[in-house]
Amino acid sequence: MTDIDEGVDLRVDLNTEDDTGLPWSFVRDARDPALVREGAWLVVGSGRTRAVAQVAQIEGDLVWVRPLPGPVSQYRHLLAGRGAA
Amino acid sequence: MESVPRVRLTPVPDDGILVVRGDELDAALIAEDAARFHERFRDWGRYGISAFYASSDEEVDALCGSRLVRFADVVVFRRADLEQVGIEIVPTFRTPHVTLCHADLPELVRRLLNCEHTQRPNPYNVPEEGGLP
Repeated sequence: MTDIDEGVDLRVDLNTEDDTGLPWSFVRDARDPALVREGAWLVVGSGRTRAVAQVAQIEGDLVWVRPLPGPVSQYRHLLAGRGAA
Repeated sequence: MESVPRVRLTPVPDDGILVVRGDELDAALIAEDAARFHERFRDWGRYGISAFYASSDEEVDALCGSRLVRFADVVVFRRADLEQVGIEIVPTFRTPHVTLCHADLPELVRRLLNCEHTQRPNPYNVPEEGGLP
């Protein structure tokens, strides 16, 4: 995580995909790796891009997320319970 | 876990003349993303970033409204310009995904930043009220 990832729980380049069709990253790129659990809702992104996403799968240090369309503010209710950014 | 990306057997079609990627071109972001790709696919020997090919502005528009909807801006390259500066465009994973790659990280970043491109606002992106959360 760097200064350019402010407000992000998990740094993900939302351009990425693999054969799952989902963006991926490494668990260690999380603000707090304990937040990264399958089914958890997180703020993901990088640069100027943010999205709310559900953690779809974790395999070792790799994590795949399923981002939602629209601004983060639209999904605040899904983020309740996660640690403050 | 595969240590090389899946390269599609079908090459990028001749009419795939445009390459689009979400967000703006930022050297630090490109370097981070490309290093992450290299680490995951360590046996492939290339640094790469994700992008999508398109055959027309209408297909760029379709990508803006679907796969790239979360980005406020997109960067559009002409495929010929990328090839001219020595960026390899590899059809990876699911169509129309491609990986823009080079064996050397600083060269990948330098060549991408120096490649002619246009940055366009994404008309389908809904901005965050009051800026980033």
